[in-house]
Amino acid sequence: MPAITREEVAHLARLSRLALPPDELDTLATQLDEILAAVAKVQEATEGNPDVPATSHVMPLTNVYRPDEAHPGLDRDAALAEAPAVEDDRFRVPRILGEEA
Amino acid sequence: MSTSTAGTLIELTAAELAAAIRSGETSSEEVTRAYLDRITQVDDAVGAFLHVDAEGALAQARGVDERRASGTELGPLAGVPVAHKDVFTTAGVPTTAGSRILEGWRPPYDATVTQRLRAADMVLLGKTNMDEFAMGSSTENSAFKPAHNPWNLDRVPGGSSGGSSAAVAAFEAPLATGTDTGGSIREPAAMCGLVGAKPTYGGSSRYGLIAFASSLDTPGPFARTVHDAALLHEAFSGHDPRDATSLDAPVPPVVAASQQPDIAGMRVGLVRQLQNGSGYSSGVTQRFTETVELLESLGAKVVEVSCPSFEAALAAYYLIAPSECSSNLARFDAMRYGLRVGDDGTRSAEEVMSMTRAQGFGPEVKRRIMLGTYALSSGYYDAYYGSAQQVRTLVRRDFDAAFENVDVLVSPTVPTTAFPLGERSEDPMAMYLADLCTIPANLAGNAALSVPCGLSPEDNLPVGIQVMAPPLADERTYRVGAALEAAFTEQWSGPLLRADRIAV
Repeated sequence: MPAITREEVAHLARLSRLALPPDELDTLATQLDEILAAVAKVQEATEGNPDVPATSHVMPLTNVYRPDEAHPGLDRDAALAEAPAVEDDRFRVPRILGEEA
Repeated sequence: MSTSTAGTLIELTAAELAAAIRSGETSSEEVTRAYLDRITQVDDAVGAFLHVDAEGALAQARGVDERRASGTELGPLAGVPVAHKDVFTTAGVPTTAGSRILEGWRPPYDATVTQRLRAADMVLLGKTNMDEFAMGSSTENSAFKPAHNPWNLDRVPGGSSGGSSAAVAAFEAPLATGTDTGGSIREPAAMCGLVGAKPTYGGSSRYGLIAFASSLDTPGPFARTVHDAALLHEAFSGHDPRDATSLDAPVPPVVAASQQPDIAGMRVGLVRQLQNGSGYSSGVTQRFTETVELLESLGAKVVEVSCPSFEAALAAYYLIAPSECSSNLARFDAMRYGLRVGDDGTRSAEEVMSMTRAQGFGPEVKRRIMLGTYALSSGYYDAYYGSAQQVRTLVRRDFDAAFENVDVLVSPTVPTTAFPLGERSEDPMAMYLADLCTIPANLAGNAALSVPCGLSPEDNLPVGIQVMAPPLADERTYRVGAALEAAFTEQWSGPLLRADRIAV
């Protein structure tokens, strides 16, 4: 049985905000199945060690603070200079209301 | 290569160039012109650069020459050109991370590494080719063009920083920057016969580095000599308040170590799990074994150590890195910068976003976003991402245990030499295996360095040895690198990489 089905791949593409054509989904289904089979090796490695803590980050850093001082940010023109679309000195975006959640 | 003055100039080390500029024997402008000419001559064949900033480079060079003329004291790399990986933002200079989604983007700010190169009076020649968003081991995932290995143009230069390694190996730059997330500096350095270092995680700043996997991404240097690599390492490293994971600690004394090629009494551990497996070519194994014997003859005490969890490191990496990338790359939403597709007034923001990402990202980036999204999904999280994070703990414990008994660990940098273009591009798992030996140091945040150890007798292509040290003990890797470089230079009557040995 494959680790991942074609339907799951299509669902993942929606979650990932990737409008992929059917042929790309087919290819990805095969490749992801192969990759998932290989990376499942992590489960064997931890099988006998259920109490091993997880490491999300290797350096023992906690709550790094900086002085609460004001610094200039990007000015409006610089921030908008590379925008795909600008209207009235603001980012113009496609409609966001009336779409499916 | 011609033996003209310009030819001679580009064969000098970065340290020699800096000294010649300081003494007035040459100028930064003359050096910069020599490199720009070389790029014009060979880069159509090599494909190392995505953008060459000739005008900007010459202006910077003239600025350095003027400061020298006015009596300003110059730093150790002042006036020396550098090729800059296209993953670092450069204000006003195109930055793409090798992706169509950022084609033509001119960032409004400099990365910290960029700022520090400028502050060191270095001359930025341009931006180097790379696997898209640094995802790859061959530079074939660049959305624009593949880069080629200067030793043999039909081979890959490694990746993801393959434009940087190709540029330095082809004498198009004396130095280059890179980033190493799973081996993306060490692997291309090994494949191109260069020195490449992955500093301790947090030792070099990620601010302005277009993020791939934030808990792993580490900027580092490429050079033709260990000393040059140390000079560049020192020039851009050190604490950065703008990177929350930057270490507030002094830069390890890598430059001093690069001038102390003495390893008598040093304890060197041979990682049992990183040698002689089925994926290792016999030429790599032969050169590695000879190099270990050389370490012993130089006075090192070599012992074998076992790091059993390294067997699962590759699998853990290919869950952790894609998981982080699926989150990081969510910022490419077609709203504030970069590509926007399908915005015809009828489609919603979400549709435009999904169309843009489908068109703007290449196959490997999509694969990793999907893989990461899967690994982080409820229902699969514990079995995949959770287990991978546990493996990360085990890898770190293996390193800790090993470093109780040895000062450094060694392994081949890559199991094979540079493979032919196209050989692995359709087989993601085969491509991932190129990172087998380099990944453990990323998972644990260690310092590591690759230094050339000869040409494989099978194909006459470079082989590298990897030296790993505990976090913030980067200087040990440079010390071993310097000792090997000195011994090999004598044995080979010169450096491995010579202008008359490459294909351009």
